[in-house]
Formats: sequence, structure tokens, C-alpha cells
Amino acid sequence: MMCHPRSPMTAWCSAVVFIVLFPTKAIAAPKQTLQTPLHPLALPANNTPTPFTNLTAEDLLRLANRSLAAGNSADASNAFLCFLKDFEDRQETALLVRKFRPSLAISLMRLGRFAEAHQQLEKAIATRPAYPEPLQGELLFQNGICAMQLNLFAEARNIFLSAMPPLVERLQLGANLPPRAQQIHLLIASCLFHEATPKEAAAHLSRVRHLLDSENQTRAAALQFRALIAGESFEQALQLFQSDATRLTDSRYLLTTQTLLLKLGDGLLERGLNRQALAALRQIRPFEKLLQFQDSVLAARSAQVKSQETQRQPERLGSVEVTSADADAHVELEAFRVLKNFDLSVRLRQVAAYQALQRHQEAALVLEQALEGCSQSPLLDGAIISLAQCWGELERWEKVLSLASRFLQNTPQNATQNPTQNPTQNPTQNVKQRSALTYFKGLAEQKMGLYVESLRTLDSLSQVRPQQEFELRAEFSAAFTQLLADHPADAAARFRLYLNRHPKHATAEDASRWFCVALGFDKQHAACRAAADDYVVHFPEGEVRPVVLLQKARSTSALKLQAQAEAELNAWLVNFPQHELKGEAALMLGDLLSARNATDAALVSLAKIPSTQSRPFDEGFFKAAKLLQQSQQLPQLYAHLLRFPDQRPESPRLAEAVLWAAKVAESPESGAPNHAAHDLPFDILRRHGDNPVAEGVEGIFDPMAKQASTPELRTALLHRLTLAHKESSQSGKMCLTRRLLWAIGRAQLATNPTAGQAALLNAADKAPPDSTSPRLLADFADALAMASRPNEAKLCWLDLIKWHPAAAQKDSAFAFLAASAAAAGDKNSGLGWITRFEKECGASAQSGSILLTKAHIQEASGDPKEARKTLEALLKERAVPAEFKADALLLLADSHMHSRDPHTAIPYYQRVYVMYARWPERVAKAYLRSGEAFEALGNVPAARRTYQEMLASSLPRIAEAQTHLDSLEGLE
Amino acid sequence: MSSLHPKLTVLICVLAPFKLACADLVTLKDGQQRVGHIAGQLENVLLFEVQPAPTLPPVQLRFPLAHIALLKFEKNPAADELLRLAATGDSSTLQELWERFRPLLKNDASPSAAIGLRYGLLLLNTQTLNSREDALTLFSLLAIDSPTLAERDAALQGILRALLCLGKTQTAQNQATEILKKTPSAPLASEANLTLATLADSAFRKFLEQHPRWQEDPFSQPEYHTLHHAILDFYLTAALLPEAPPELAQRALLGAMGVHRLCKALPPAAEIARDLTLFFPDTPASQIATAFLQSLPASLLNSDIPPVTAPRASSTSSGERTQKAPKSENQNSIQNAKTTNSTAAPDAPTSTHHRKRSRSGTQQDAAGPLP
Repeated sequence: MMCHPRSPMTAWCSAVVFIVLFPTKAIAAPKQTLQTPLHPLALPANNTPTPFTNLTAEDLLRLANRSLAAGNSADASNAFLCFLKDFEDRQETALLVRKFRPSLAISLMRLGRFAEAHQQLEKAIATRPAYPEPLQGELLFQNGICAMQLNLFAEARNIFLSAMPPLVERLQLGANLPPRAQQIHLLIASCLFHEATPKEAAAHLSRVRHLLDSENQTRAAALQFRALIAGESFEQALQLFQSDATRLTDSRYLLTTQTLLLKLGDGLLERGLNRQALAALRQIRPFEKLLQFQDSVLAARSAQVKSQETQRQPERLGSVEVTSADADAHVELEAFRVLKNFDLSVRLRQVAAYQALQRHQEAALVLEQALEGCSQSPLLDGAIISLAQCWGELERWEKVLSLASRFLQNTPQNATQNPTQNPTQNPTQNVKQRSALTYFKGLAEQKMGLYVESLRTLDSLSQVRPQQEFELRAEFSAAFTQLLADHPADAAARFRLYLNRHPKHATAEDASRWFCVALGFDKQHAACRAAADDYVVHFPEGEVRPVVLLQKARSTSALKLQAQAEAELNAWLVNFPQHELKGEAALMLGDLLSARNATDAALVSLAKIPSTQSRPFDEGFFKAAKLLQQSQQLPQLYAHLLRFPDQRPESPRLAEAVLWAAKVAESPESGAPNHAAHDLPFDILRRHGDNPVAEGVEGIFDPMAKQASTPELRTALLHRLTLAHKESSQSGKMCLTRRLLWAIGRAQLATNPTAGQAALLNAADKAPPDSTSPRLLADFADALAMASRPNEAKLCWLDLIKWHPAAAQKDSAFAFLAASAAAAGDKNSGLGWITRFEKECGASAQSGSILLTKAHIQEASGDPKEARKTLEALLKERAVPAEFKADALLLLADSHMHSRDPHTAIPYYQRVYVMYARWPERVAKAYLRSGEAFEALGNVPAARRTYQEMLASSLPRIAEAQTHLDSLEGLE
Repeated sequence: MSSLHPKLTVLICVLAPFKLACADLVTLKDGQQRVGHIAGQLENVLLFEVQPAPTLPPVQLRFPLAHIALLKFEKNPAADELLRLAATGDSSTLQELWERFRPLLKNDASPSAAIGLRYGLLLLNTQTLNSREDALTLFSLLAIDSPTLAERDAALQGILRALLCLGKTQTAQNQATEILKKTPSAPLASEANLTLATLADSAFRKFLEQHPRWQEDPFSQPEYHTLHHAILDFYLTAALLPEAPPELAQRALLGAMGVHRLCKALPPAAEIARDLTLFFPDTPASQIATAFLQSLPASLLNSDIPPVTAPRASSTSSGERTQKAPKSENQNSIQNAKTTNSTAAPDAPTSTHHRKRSRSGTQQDAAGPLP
């Protein structure tokens, strides 16, 4: 199976999800990570503050104020710091320091000097009296931001918490939190996330999300999603995504969400939550589309920023974060852009999930799509093999063959030896891939019955690297192909070699089993027994031990080692009493015992065959009956036969058992009750005749009719059948009623065709085709055709084909339907039925009829050459009845006459009246046409002789011959 | 101009929000530029509405086409949403609107194609032979003249649906096959696969009708397997394509589930049903899937079957609540056109019980809106 696709993508995914993204201006940017650059406004390391040594305190504050107003944070902060250096601890400047310290802190923050800012903010917050609200709260908030920037997340969280109470107090019931409180909650969650407690972060967000406004809910959803995944709460993450898909696919979070979905898919796959993994993975969009979308979003945002810059407004707290967020988004986008095989990675994960769910069709279709859409990639190597495996699992061997052939054709063998041709492919991997696909090709050919091709393919592989997995499997499969191709000697030789080479391989047990079977098939019975012993020694717990041991017993029996075979079979039956081959083993043992006249033991053995194993049961049952008859145990035989209808009511041999029992009952020694011989068939009919599946009962009637050899017996039988019909009709047994009516019809066909025909038509009426046996339907169709109801006959034949596709009467159906279509001038339909006949029926008594119809159609289609070929073929068919051959000769002759070739036609006509005198109508026609042919040739004497010869016979159409003869009078 | 249909007035009001951000622009040949709302075209006159002042009603101006140098439309999401929600009852409104915007079809960003596409779908939902023919004509026009590729693709989707509705199966098959040869967009590829799946489904059902005991017939088995594989390949491909529209994916999965059920293959049917409940929660498709799962014997059940829940409803701008989930009118018409006496499986995606009505009575189509 395909390995779980853990590509470099996973590592990238892990890295990128830790990029902190709050790309909006509403809240401050938290921690910068390695993936993000330094704060864009941060001073370089060697950028030391400009000294303002010559300025007075007043100048410094003025400069600081001016710089602050102009947005020059560097000068402002330097001026403030110079001022503080000299005057911070002086009593007289305490008020000034208190006033300006917050501005200094903000300036420092804007410069990315968070440690200094943090220091200043701490001092400001500690100042007493405290600053009035909301400034004090703002200072706390910014201090928390600084702590976050310094990676002091626990401290930052405490600061945020301390900033919270006065803000929360203002919350009214049912309203959203004030904006700053919302930001604080998000930042607390962010701190928790960075403190490596993502579950708590997610829980915090879950608690407060309903208090946030829409915009912050979107941010919270993004963070919560990330936190849930980081905390490995994958199922909750999926639920969150499903309930908040709109927020999470917001353009600002799209790439993050998409990469997180990939990670989520991975996590769910690892947990075995395959369907959930699919739910996550199917939300991931194609790589190119994501790039296009994100490019356009960032371009639009850049344009917006530029337009804002043209109408520059005084800087406010937090404005720095806009640029920071954009930078982050750009970094993220660029990191995403360089990814390789993003789409393929997603698709391969989907494949892994579908395969884990045993859904090979979905896996195969996804793989096909992936292979169509991806260029060269090392990941593809495994994908092609996986695809072949999936199609193989589905037994779609034509797909496997096509895939493998295509690949092997497009990747010539020397390409694998010359890696410079395709540097992206690993040569070793390539060889392995080629081996795998060659193996699959050979396997597909084997499954499709292309044994010669399969052997060629598999043999080409097994020589390459004999100890490698696919080469080794190819060797095994080649041996098995020989077995399937009915070359057991070759198969045995190959399996022997295989077992010698790879005695410890996982396939050795199977090889050992098939080696034994191949030897048995090849009648190398001694070797087969030795192979079976080997199997038992090497695989004492082997799953197919019963099969192998039974094969051994067969070989023992074939070697005429009777006692040994009996012992082996007895042991087999003791050891495997519930095995599906029990019937076969018991039957074999019964045969062996009866062969040495151990009748009682044989009967015991045959009685062990379970009735659920229909073939051996029926065979064993009748063998037991034969033994009882041979030993003259008539009462036991009668009782034995009586059991059969109840044990196997659906058996096609039911009538055989019933009629045999009836015959036995005639003997007084059978101990059967009086009249049992006469009553038994009707008893069985009463018990099983209404069961549509018990078609075997229909076989009772014909022998009974044959036995009624005198008119009195026939009348008695008819009376009995009529009474039974009346009884079943009154008791509503529709199936039995229909069968009895059919039997009445058939019984009368010879003696009273009109009544017989009427009974059959009566039975045909409303006969449900799905539960009426094909034997009955065929008779009904014939009766309908005889009654000049061709359309109903046609429907009846169509029903037979539809509901009984494996019926023996199918050939008659095709013959009728073809002839019917040809008669109606529907050549295509006629040829269609003929094609089906040729394909599905093989040798059949209807071949003559079919070929005649085919010739008719070909002749009517203006293709006399093909028609003649068909007729010649008919004449060569031994199985075709003579009647059809006579017709074929007539048609051939007529065809030549139509082609104005009476010379060739005459011998055909002559063959009819020489060889087929049993059919006077045909002979008469042949005489008349032959005479006409002679006339056409101007050979009046020969024509006259022909007509005179006909007049001398007792053929029909004599008058026509006389007319022809009269017309020749006076001619020479 | 004839008096406006009340619904048209509503739609025009939405189409004319008179906000600068989404206002249309007309540049006349004399250089004048007018900002307002293009309300369509009647013969050789462009209808243009402006609002002199926020408190005053809009005024309709008429510019002869000969005087116009350039038209520029702005996207109007509110109008798109209203179009999306238009139901069969709005057909006449849409028709009138389409007549007015049809001459402007080739203009970039004009709402004409969107109006035409929605109107086409409503025509299909009307389920009369004439309306289906009209829909086919309309989609054919849109497939050529729509200004964007996405709209042309959507029109091709409409053509495929119309062809199926009209029972022109061979043409539908040819068109779908041709489309798939040309690397189409995901929605169009999904629609084409779904079209082929629908046709194969129909052929498969016909085969089963003619060969009820195919298992006993070795000569029928290859055809059975060929058809069975083809349908599932088409349905599943339609659902598995990346970015396949959810409506089409749901239809495809329901179709695949139906095929499995038809073949008495309950475990794979249950698998797909579970997909539907998880991938598309709170939709009519997931309801059908859940009901099916709940009908299964205990041996086939496992714990991940969710309880049956009503489809999630969403408020519309007009205060109505409509089902947000996929819709089904086109689907029904497709099936009806396909066979008149087919024995559809109880869960066949095309059967009539998939037709849903919103509370307001507006019918929705399971085929989903064209993009």
C-alpha cells in the first residue's frame, strides 16, 4: 500500500502556522518570529541616538513634541531620553516626566525598541497618583504588547488581565465587549498560544467569542483554529472550520487557513480519522488559484495603503501594525509561492485517506486527477504504483494494463539507467517503479486471460533483479499463469524453482500449495504427495492445509494406494468436519469404499455429505441409492429416495429420484404402501410443485406420459392430471396449476393436438415469465407461434431471454427472433440476434435455422456471395439436421439462378432430390426448378426428362410439372 | 415603456443602489460623464437612472445609443444575491429584465449574463418543452456572447442541463465529452462529468431492466461492469474534482450512493452517505443520506451517523427564509426528460422527492445556481 505522504510540506506547514498574523490595524502586532523580518521601523543595531548635548531641558521637550507631531519617533524618543537622563529624578520635573513618559514609550514602541518602551511603561504605570482612565488602561495595554514583543507571554497575559477589569465593568448585558477589551481577549489568547498552551488559548477564545464583534470574531476564529490544531484537538478544529468556514476563508487568513487545513488533514489521518481528514483536505484550494487570489488581495491592499499615504494623517497608536501585517502576509505568500507539489501533497493525502477507508475507486480517481495535473515529481513515482494497485483492487485490469503499458512505453528502460535524462528522478526509484509496473502489467494480462503475453511480461521482469520484491512476485505469478494456462508441468517446474530460491518469502506458502496442485493436475501423484508433506512440515498452521491434504488424498487414490487413501480421507474428515470441501472428501471416500464393496461404510461416508453442498450431495445421494439397489436393500432404497425431494427440492435431479422411488415402490419387497407407485409423483407435485424454484418437478411429467403407452393409460394419466389441476387451481397454487396445465397440453399434443395446443395457450396466459421455467416458456412460445400469434410468441421468447439468460432454450429464442426480424425486413435486428446466437450458443440444434436466416438476410441485402458462403458453411456442419441442409441446397441453387447461372444451380437442385427424398415438398421444388434451369440453358431434352421423372413419382405439385412439360411440346 | 412589474421594480431598486462605490458610468460622445444606474436598453435607447438627491426618487434618463461613447458597469453584489434567490415565480420579472439587458450582454461587467443565466435556469425549472427549448437557445447565446470565461462556462453548464432536460442525450453526451477534452474549469468539468454520469445512469437502469438476472448470464456481465464502472467513475469524478461546486458534488455523491443502492451494495452506499453527512452537514443531501443510514441494518451501522436535522435556513433580504442548500428543479426535469417510465431507485438523485420547497413556496433547484 502507499505510504503515508509525509513530505517536506509537513515541515513547512508546521513552520508557517507559527507565523503570527494579526494583519489589521485594530490591534498591535504581537511577537515577531524567525519567519518575519525585524520590525520595519526598527533602528539598525548601530543606529545610536543622536546626542542633544547642547539643548536645554525646555529645548529638549519642545523638540520632542515637535518631532512627535511630525511623526519622527526617533528624534522624539531621543529628545525624551536625553531629557530623562538629566531630569528624571528631580523633584521639580516630576510632573513633566509624568506627562511625557507615555509619549516616550509609544515612540520607542514605534521604533521597535520594546525593552526600553516596556521599562518606561512600567515606570509610568507605577507612577502615583495613577494616570486617569482611559490613559492608565491604555498604558497597561501597550505594556502588554511590549511584553509580548519581548517574548514575556506570561507577564504580558497578566498585564492584559490587569488591564481588563475596568474595561469589562462597562459591558452591558447582551452587548459586545468594548473594542479594546475584545483586543485584550485576543491578545490573552495569543499569549496562551505562545506559552505553549494552545488548548487553553482555544478554550479562552471559545468562552469569549460570542462577546466579540464580527471583525474580531473572524480574528478569534482564525486564532482558535490555529490553537486547536496546535493543541491537536483535530476534531474540534474540523468542527470549527465547518461552522466558521466563511470567517476562516477570509482573504486575510486564507493562506494560513489553507496550510493549517493541510496540517489538520495530517493530524486526522494520523489518528485514523480518515473521513474527517477528507473533510478537511477537500477544503484546500488549488495552489495556483491561491497564489493568484492572494496576489490580487495584496496588490489591492498595497494600492489602498498608497492612496492612504497620499492623504497622510497623524500617526496613531497601532498604525505601525498595518505595515507589519502586510509584511507578514507578503512573507507568508512568498514562503507559500516557493512550495513544490502543494496540490499533489493534498491529493496524496486524500488518496491515503480513501485507501484507509478501502475506497479504492475514489483513491484511483483522485490519483488519476493528480497525475494529470502534475508535472514531474518524486512523489509521482509512488503515485503511479498506488494507482495501479487501486485499479487492481477493483479488478479493473484493463485500467492496470493501460496504465502500466503507457508508463513503460513512455519511460524506456535505458532512461532508468541514465539519470541525467531526467534529473528529478531517482534512478533506483525509477527501476523499482518500472519493476512494479511491469509486474502489474503481467498480472493484468494474466487476469484478462492473456497468458502468453503475461508470461512474456513476467519473465522479462523476473530475470532483472531476482531478489527484489516485484521481480520475486513476478516469478511467482509466472508460475501461476502457467497453471491457469493449463500447463501444469511447466507450472510445477516453476513453483519448484521458486520454492528452492525463496523458501522463506511470504509467498512461499502459496507457492507450496500451488506446487502441490500443479503436480496433481499433471498426474505426478507421488511428487504431489511429497509436496503436500513438505507443505505440512513447513506450514503446520497453514490456512490451506485442508486443500493441500485433500489434493494429497486424491493423488494417493490415483496411485491406487486404497488403504492409504482411505486413511487420509478419514483423517481429513475428522480434522476438518466443517470445511467446505467436506462433501468432496466424503464422496471420494464413499467411492473408495464402494469400490472394495464396503457398502455399509460407503453409505455412512456418503451420508456425511451436507445437503448444502449441492453438487457432491446429489452425486453422493444417487451413488448411495445405486449401492442400496445393488445390495437389494429395497425398503432402505425406497426410504432413501423419498428423502431427496425434501432435502433438495431445487435439484434438477428431483424427478429422477421421484420416478426411481415410484419404480421401486412397484416391487412388493420395497415395503412401500399400496398405490405408492402411482400416487408418489402426485404427492411430490402437491408438496413441491407450487415452488417456482423447484423446476425439477417438471421432469416428472414427460416420463409419465411416455410410460402411458396405451390409450387407456393415456386417458387415465390425463384424468389424473386434470384432477390434480382442478385441485391445485381451487387451492390457489398458481405455479402448480400452470405446470399441470402445461403437462396436460404436452400429454395431448401427439394424440389430440388441438386440445393440447389449447391447454398450452391456456397455461401461457398470464404466466409470469420471471417465475415460469424456460422449459414451459419455450413450449408456450411454440404454441403461440403455432396459433398464429407471432407477436405474443416473440414476447414470450424475449421474456425467456430476459428472465432465464442461462436457459438451454435460448438458442430457439434467438432462432425465432432472428427469423421473425428477417421476415419483417428488419435486417439489423435479425443480424443482431444471429450475432448473439453465434456468441452465446455455440453448437446447437438451431444452427441450421440460424444460418438459413442469416443467408436470407444476406441475400436480401444484396450480398449473394456472403449468403452462399453462409449456406456452404451450413452444409459442412455435421450437427445441422438434414431438413435444413435441403433448404440450404435449394437456397444456393436459387441464388445461382438469380445470378443467371443455371449451369451451377442445377447440381444443387439435383442433390436435393437425390439425397433428401424424405421431404417431398422440397424434392418437388427441386425438380421443378431444375427443369426450369435446363430450360434456361436451352437444354429442352434434359428439361423434359426432369419433368417426366417428376411425373413418374408421387411428389406434390405434379400438375406444375405437367404444365411445364406441355409447354415444351414441339420444342427441340 | 410599459409599466414595470412590481418585482422588477424591487430588483431595479437593488440594481440601483446609488452609491458611488457601485455606480455605473456612461460616457457620452461629447465627453460628458454621467454616474448612475444603467437600467437596460430599449430599442436604440439606453435607460439610465440617476438620483438627483438622496431624498428624491430616481429619475430615468434616456440616452440614444448613437450618443454613447462608453459604458462602464460596476459590480453589484446585492443584485447578484437577489438574482441568486430568484425562483420560478419570478420568471416573468426575469424575462422582462433579460429583454432590457440582453443588448448590453457583451459589455464587460454588465449584469446581463447573470440575469440571462438565472433566467435560463428558471426556464428549465418551468418544465415545459417550449421553455426548455428557450433555455437552450438562451444558454447557447450566453455561451458565445458573455464577456467573461466564467459566464461562458456557466452557460455551457446550462446547455448541458437543457440538453438533458430535452432528452437530447446524444448531443449532451457529445458536448460533455468535447468539454472534458479541453481542460475546463472545475465547475464545468464537474457538470460535464455529471451529465455523462446521468446518461450512463440511465443506460445502466435500462440495462438492469432488460437484464434483471445478469448475474446468471456470463454474456451480460461485462456490459454490467462496464456501465457500472462508467457511472461511478463519472459521478465520483464530478464530486472529487478540486473546487467542484458543493451543489454538484452533493448531486454526484447522491448519484453514486443511488447506484450502489440499486446494485444492493449497501456498504459502499453507506460510505458515501457518511461522506455526505460529514462534508455537507445540514443540507437536504445530508438529510437523505442520514435517513438512508438510519434505515440500514445494525450490522452496517456505526456510531458516526448524525441525527436527522432540518436543513439550516437563512434569512433573505426580503425576510423570507429559504433553504440554503442545493436545489432540485433542474434535476427533476432532467430525469423526467430522460425516461418516462424508468424504475428509478428510491434514493436516485434525480427522483422527485429531492424537490424542495422553501417556506415561502419558492422552488429551488438541486442542480444549484450556475456560477
